[in-house]
Amino acid sequence: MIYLQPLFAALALLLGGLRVAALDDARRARNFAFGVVAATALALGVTALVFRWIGGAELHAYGLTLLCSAEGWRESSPFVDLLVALLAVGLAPVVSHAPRTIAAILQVIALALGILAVDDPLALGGLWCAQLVVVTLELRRLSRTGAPPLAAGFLRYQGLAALCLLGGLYALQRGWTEEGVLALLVAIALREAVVPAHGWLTTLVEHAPLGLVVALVAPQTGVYVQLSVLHEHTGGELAHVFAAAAAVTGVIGALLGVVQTSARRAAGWLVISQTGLIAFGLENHSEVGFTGAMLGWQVMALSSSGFLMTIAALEARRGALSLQQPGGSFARTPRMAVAFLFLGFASVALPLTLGFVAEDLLVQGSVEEFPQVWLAVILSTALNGYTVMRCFFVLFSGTRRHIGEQDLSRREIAAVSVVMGVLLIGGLFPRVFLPSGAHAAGSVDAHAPAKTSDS
Amino acid sequence: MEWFDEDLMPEARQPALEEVKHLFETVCERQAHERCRRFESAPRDGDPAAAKRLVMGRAVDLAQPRPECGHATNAYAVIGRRERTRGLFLDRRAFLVSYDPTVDPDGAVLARLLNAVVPVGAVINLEYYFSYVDPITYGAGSKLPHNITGLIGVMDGHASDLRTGLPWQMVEIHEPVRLLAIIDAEPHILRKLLVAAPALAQFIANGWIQVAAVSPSTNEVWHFSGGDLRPYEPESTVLPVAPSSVFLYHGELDHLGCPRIVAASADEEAA
Amino acid sequence: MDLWLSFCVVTIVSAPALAVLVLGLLSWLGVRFTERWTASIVGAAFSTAAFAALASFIGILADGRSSVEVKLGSWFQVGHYSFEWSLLADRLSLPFATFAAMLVGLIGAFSRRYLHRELGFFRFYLLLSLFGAGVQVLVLAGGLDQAFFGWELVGLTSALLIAFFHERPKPVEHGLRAFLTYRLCDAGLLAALVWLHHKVGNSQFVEQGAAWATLRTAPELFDTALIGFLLLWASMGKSAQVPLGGWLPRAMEGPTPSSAIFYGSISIHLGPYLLLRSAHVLDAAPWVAAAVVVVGAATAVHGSFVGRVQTDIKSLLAHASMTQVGLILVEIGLGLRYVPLIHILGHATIRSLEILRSPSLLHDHHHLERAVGRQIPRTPFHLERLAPAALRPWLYRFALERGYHDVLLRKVALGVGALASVLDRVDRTVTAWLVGRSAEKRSRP
Repeated sequence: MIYLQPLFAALALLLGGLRVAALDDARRARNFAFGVVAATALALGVTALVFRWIGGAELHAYGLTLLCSAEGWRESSPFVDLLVALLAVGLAPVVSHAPRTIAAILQVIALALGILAVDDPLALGGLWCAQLVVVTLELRRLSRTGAPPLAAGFLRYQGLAALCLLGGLYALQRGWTEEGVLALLVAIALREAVVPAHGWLTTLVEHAPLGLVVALVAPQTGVYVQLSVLHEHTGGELAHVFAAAAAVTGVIGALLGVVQTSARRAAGWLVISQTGLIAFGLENHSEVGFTGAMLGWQVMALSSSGFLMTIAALEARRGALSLQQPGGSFARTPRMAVAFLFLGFASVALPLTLGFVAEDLLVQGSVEEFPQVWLAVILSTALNGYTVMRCFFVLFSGTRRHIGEQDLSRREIAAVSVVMGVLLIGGLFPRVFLPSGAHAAGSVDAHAPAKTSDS
Repeated sequence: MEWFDEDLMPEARQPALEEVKHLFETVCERQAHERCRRFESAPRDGDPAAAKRLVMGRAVDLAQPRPECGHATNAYAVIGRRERTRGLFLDRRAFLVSYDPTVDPDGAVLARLLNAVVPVGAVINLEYYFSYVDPITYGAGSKLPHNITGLIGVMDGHASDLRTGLPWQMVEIHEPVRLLAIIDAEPHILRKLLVAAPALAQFIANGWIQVAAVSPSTNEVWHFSGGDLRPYEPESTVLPVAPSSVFLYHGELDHLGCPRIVAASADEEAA
Repeated sequence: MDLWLSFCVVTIVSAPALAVLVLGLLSWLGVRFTERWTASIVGAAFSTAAFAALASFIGILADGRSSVEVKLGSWFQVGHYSFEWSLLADRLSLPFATFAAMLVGLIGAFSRRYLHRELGFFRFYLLLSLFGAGVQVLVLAGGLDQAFFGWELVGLTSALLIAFFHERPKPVEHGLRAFLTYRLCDAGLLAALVWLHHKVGNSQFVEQGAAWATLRTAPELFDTALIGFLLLWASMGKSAQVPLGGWLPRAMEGPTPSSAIFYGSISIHLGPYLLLRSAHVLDAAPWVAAAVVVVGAATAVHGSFVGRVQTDIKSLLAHASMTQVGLILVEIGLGLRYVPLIHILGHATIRSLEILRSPSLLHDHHHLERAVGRQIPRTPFHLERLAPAALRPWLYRFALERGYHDVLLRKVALGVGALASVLDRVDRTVTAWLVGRSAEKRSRP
């Protein structure tokens, strides 16, 4: 089965990436990429409405089923990925993002959309590896132009993840369930930066261009694979171990985020911690917890990319951001400050944002199955909220010296407003974003389409 | 205006007292009206009685951080005969000290006067000056976070250095200029006094205030600069004229330009 | 009549919410609000809310009822879990809601002159209206879920208003400290909420024969006690009880009207409000009630002694506030219901007035001295005389150090921070080795 909408979005972004790579001027490249992403998102929206109206369409060709519409999470995930791309490209500072980097961003997101478009696990594995190849090549190119050498370290972790993934998928196909699940869990743990396999992410967040990091991390491909491939294998011993590791990641991430001295690293730990909580939630058998984790996944994609990109925008204006010296005045750059605060708090479950709904569901759902751990989830979120506030206060206030940095530009405001709007509307009217119960669990199933109808 | 010991007034003088009271009442109202021009929240077209009520209300309003103008906008001190400044629109910026040079040939009274007036005027002016120029270091910053401590001073918020100087709300409308002391005396007398009193000399020689002398006999102006009183050439000897002060300041929030002689008819009416 | 009452109750919440939405959204889109418009919008919203509250009150009395519940339906639902929105106006929430709306409106009117020409004028009003909306949601909540919703919003606005003068480092630090306390204690509230759902099924307030609708108790005593303790933990943070009260005197960094409304009147009484709403839980689990009494009494004694040695007026008022809230907690723990409510309302009124008057302290002092005719005599030492003479210098020293609670909390925080730093260093070293970057290890944390 191939889903046509994410497929076309992926193709559009790939073509856009090719064009962008050929451009010389970083500013033009960025603006063009922004236009491409915006246009694709609009087109996707229009077609989604059209197909919803006419009730979907199915094509059969070459032994493949092509679907023109999807339900539940499959419908919203391409939009989430496109919004991530919008932020990654819209707020990317030209200082650190050359045209080739922007092209790489588009390619990575295109591959993420491709992963959403296909059902076949091997194709999934192939696209995952393709993402790694793109990122590694880009990191290598950057190190040649003076950036710190990140490719080798990245490859160490993600190469292993790719091997485990392919091996696991192969094993599952051959029927060796235990080994397959183990290999897949290792691969997912590496991809989702579960402690202790998180080193690549903290390094990447600290040194690589943030747009690239966001494009790779925010769509949470690992989470997606966990859902689609491992969904029917949950409940086993390994899955419980994984859930425990994810919860521990959440707690450790929260703890470490509190003592960071660089804004980038603090944000990185925030992402690691909250992702761990979501990965933990996905092991939930209860529908409530699972839905919470799914919603949390999407909220996290939007808010973490927004948060990281706002940091990138601030960094471009101010230089390296340290959390030891207060800097800046938010009265002069109010929009940037409000965006930072809102997006940061959306990931830590502030009321009025969609994150509150996700967290509520997640915590309510996990109390039954994991009576020892749900308290850790609550505490981690509390500490993460403190980290966000601390970053906000240190970066935007505390001194009356203001270096004259400019507030967000129109393009940046547009990108940020769309994402904030989605999170705010979701925070006020969650029903808009919560699929009806029947579709929540079943629609992401890769292997058993028959399961879609029951819940 | 509060009147004390009214019962001690003889019957025959009562009508005169009533007239004086009425006069003061009118003056208070007009003064309040003139003061109101500086308040952003006061209505532009009020009558003097409403202005007086407004000003008195501000003085007791708990929520009002700018209850009065205080000495803000002070710019000069005129030490001399009142006839010299009669009719001038001083815009509440002058300290007026009465002094008659015709009965003080050797300057003894002037010496005592200057010793009293100059330090006080200078200190007030410098207080406003520095609090305006650097509200954080020399002034007390905004009044809003002030926390009275020990019943002797204020600090910002929970704990901070004691804030000395004037709060921003007091100096907001001030113009940071040094006080100009205009003295109705002969320059040779003034020169003698400046040399004789070291305290005065410190203020004047070190440039903390400016001094000018207007000779009672020749009406020449002498300005203290470069260590001595030198003749001063005014740019123009013609002052613009306006029919009334209300006409001048109506609707204006900012500093008004050079004082203008108010037309004689309006002046007599006020007098 | 029903419809009218429901409409009034909904208006109490929706008027401030509308003001927040209008101010927030329009300012994000670039609309510049003048002082007059800002103050007018907020004032209108809260006047409407206050009138609606009064109208509800009259309506309820006229109808002969004791409460009005407006069920707004399910906000979202997944499987068996449903987040219900319902507004409950009864003997506990309606006085609170009326009072809160009137006070916020009053502070809005006060601040119009007080914050005139201040750079943060719009920000103050936005945060004030967000606070007011959060309080109304919390106070009129028909279940603990919604109460949590409002509770978090109140905490956030509180921290942002403490850091109002953001150009100095101290207000920001103190705002952050208050936020950390709120956040850690809100975890307790969320935990209580979750456990309640788990054991009881929903967290709605129901009539159980008490003075007003309260939380249901769990079937087992252990669970009820756990929920009670978690709720107490949440109240301790919000109402600055011992030993978590260090943030309160430091919270006086904001402008005087915000200090008045938060720490004099509304925000600090939300802890006792929560406990009053959970009265049934307190009745069912006597250990929890005992704990409430102990905490309240300890706070009252602490606040009383420490307040006496404070040298500045705002710290003194903060500690006085803390003392009274401690006493209110004692009353709640002892099983009284209406007495604490009246105590809260009376205390809130007087304290906000005191805080609003505190900048005029010197004037008031002089007036008093002139009226008395001589220097004000030192207050006779009542409580101090209870302590033996030898102990008094030590008590004084203890009070000067604010009971060493700040030291204790600081040590705990530093301990956790040290643990986290050690973990961080280990992490960096291991990561550097794994990733193969020696520079990573050397980079200064």
